[in-house]
Amino acid sequence: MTVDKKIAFFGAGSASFGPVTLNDIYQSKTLEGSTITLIDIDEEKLNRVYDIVCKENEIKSEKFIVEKTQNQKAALKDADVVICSIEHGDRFFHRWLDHRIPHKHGSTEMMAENGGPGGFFHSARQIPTIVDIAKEAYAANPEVFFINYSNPMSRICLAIHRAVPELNFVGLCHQINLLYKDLPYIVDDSFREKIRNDPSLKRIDLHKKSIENTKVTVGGFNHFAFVFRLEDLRTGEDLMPKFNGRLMEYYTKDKWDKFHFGELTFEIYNRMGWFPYVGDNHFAEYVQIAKNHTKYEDFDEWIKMMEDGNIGVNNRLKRFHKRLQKGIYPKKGVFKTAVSGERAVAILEAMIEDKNTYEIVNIPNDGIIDNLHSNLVLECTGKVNKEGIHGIKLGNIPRSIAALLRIEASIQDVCIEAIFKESKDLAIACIAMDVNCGSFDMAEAIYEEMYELQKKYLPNFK
Amino acid sequence: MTIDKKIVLVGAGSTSFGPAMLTDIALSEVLGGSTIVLHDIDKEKLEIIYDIVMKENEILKNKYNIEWTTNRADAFKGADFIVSSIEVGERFRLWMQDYEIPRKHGSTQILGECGGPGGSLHAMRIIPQIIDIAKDAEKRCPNAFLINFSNPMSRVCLAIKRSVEKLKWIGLCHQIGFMHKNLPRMFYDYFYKKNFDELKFKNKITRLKAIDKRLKMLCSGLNHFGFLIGMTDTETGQDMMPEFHKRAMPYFEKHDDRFEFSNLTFEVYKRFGVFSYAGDNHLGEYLQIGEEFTETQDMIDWINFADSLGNLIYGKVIKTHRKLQKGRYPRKGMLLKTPTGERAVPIIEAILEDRNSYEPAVNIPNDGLVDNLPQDLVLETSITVDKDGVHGVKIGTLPKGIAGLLRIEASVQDVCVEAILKKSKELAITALAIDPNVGSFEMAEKIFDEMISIKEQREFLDYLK
Repeated sequence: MTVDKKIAFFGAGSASFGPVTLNDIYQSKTLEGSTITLIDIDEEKLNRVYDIVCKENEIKSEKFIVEKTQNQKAALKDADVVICSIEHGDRFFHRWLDHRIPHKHGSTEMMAENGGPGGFFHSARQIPTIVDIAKEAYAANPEVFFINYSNPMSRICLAIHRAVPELNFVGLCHQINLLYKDLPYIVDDSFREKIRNDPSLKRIDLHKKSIENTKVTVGGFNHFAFVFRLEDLRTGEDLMPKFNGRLMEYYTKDKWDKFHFGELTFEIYNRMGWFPYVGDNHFAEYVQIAKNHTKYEDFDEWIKMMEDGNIGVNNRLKRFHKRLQKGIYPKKGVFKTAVSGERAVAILEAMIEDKNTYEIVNIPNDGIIDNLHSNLVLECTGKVNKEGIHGIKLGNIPRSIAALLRIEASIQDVCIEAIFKESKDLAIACIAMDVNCGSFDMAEAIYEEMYELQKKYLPNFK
Repeated sequence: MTIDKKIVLVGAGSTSFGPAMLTDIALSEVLGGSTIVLHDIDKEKLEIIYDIVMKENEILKNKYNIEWTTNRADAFKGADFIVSSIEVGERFRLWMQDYEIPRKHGSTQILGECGGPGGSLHAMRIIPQIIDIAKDAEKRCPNAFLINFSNPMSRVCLAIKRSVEKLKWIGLCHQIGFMHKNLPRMFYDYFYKKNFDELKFKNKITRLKAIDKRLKMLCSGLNHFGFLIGMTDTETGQDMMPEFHKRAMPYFEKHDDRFEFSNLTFEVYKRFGVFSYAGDNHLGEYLQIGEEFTETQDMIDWINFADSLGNLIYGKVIKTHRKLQKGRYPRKGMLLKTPTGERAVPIIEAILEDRNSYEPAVNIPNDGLVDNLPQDLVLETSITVDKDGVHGVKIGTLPKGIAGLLRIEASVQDVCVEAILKKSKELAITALAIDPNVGSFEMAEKIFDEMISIKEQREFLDYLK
């Protein structure tokens, strides 16, 4: 089956999502025949990725039509799917400022990518640009399906939802993969043996099958969500008792990891009774509690690692591009033969083929969690079929978890309002009421310094 | 006209509301003929109050039928109105602990009465007793109307809401009184110059009263965390908010008062664009941002001031009682001759007379009044009162900034009340930990452990298992 879709990929030059998404598109039989339009404001990156994709396309017998443009309108014209993974302004230059400056003024925030005062500025840089794309995409085609990969995920999705309420969109994040890595071992104590005993089975296939057979129902916000239900799809068995029974046994202290499942994750799990699967460094962004269980210096290390990784991917692309220009491009191409852990293509396939698969998605709280505000975007489990994405209802979640989430929801609410209204007072109010700031003086000092440094990329706050 | 209603005052021996409530009842032109039941568990204090009330009633030519009892079942039998103002334990000593112990462990809370970890502990001590009263009322006099005066108001009311089904109730606080005091002064020259003839009053006090009557405030938020959402001139129907915004800062900066409206209120007003009528020391309770605008000494002064005021009133009661015993009770009585401004009696009267009167700030369940706050929450908000009880004025959507602030506190309340109703120590510690003025499980645990190590706290907290 081939389809005739037009997929517009904003931020195609992005190191984090560009190569993997294109890679996944090329693995897809379902999407064959589609037009892929690459857009990036960085002309050099765009040309590089375009040349490579064209070459790959040639190697793979022209399965797709590949285009490039820097004109947003042209890109969105007739687009069926928009994938957005842009970063407004140099990602790491700004990220270091987000990380350093609120901290310098006394904020207790740890990560500053999606939450805390730093997350405010990241949101303020990203949201106007992305909302503009979303609005134009909807105007060009009200049936368009919009996939967002950009961070701060929750706030961007909420802004999209408020600015273009009718737009069919989903926000995607790969954080669940942290849990998927360990899940088969936790819920099935014979899993390790199975691999050992039957050498004909590949670990990776068994693992994949085990995940496919498990329905994981989650709820919360992006980078701030919990596992609420686990079900064996073959037998209908509730796997939560096994999961809770074996979790702490499985995660012996030597398996703790300061970036992922470590002290903060297990503190929250043990206090609140439900497992946050997003990892210490992400959960830490939103809660004051993190300051007792994570170290600021570790986050320096994490951001440095991410930055180095980013440079690495770009260098790799540059290298391949040079080989391409010299006519010595690898004959089999450089795209992998396995799909990545990103889910955009899987979701598109499930929609086109009406697969009824379960995916972790960010979608509006349309009756998914009763005791969170309905005007929010949640990270939850969605069933994907030709009608779209349907959030799995969770009813009321435990009050203590709802309270933590509501505190962040309140900050998000004001954050988006400040950005939409371009209000300096609300911007300072939002930073001040953030639990990792809690001071008007501090908020004002952070705001003034950050505004000076980033104003080229910030809304015109008045 | 006389009526035959039974009004029960629970905690009648307490100084915090006894005299004011009794003054208003004495002055009521509607309630004459009713039975007033004084109820308290402290028999000694109750007897003193009873003696005085009997004497006052005699001066009023036995306008009321006065009874006293320490037995709640007797008190509630056939009751029409129950006004409850209880405290558990030695209020000010416990309050000082609520304030000082969390701060010692690093909490940034500023008052510890209604919010912050101190407010949570206060809630944990008092709510079980109040729930007992409310459930008992629902069982013994299901048609009665309960008025709660006890703090922490919002949390106490939320717990009542979650514990009774049929009982009608409200929570009352006098914080809105700051506005009644200040608005007429702020608008004095506005009305004085423009509408002098219309006002027709010669002296300033009656003019101020007339202005107060004309200005109808629309309020919403949480108790001690309420905001002025709108204001109209009831005579012209004119929206007075533009004029308020013009006048507010010049006026309040001149009348800056650390226990009333000061820098915190002004900063919140400047940034969020909405004026809070709760006063700095109350508004600051719920916010981390409270700390930079208040001095520790101010708060200790405030608690001590409240304590000494209580002692003063109690001293006065004792002195009066002694005079009474010696047969030297003042002939005109001791109670004030003007209404106190507390709203319990006017609301009871409005129900009995089906007045459809308006009250700017009363604590009732959200139930669709404010869309962007949790529905399972008790708001301090504007209401009308008629024979069917109280009816909230629909607000719609609150400005997002203050709704955000309120939701943070609402989240803490949600877990705090759940901990109490479930009697769960684990949830209690979580409620303390997620409070922005704590933000740490470790600190929360230390605060809780120290509190429970104090005998007079433990007495009221050790149900949390």
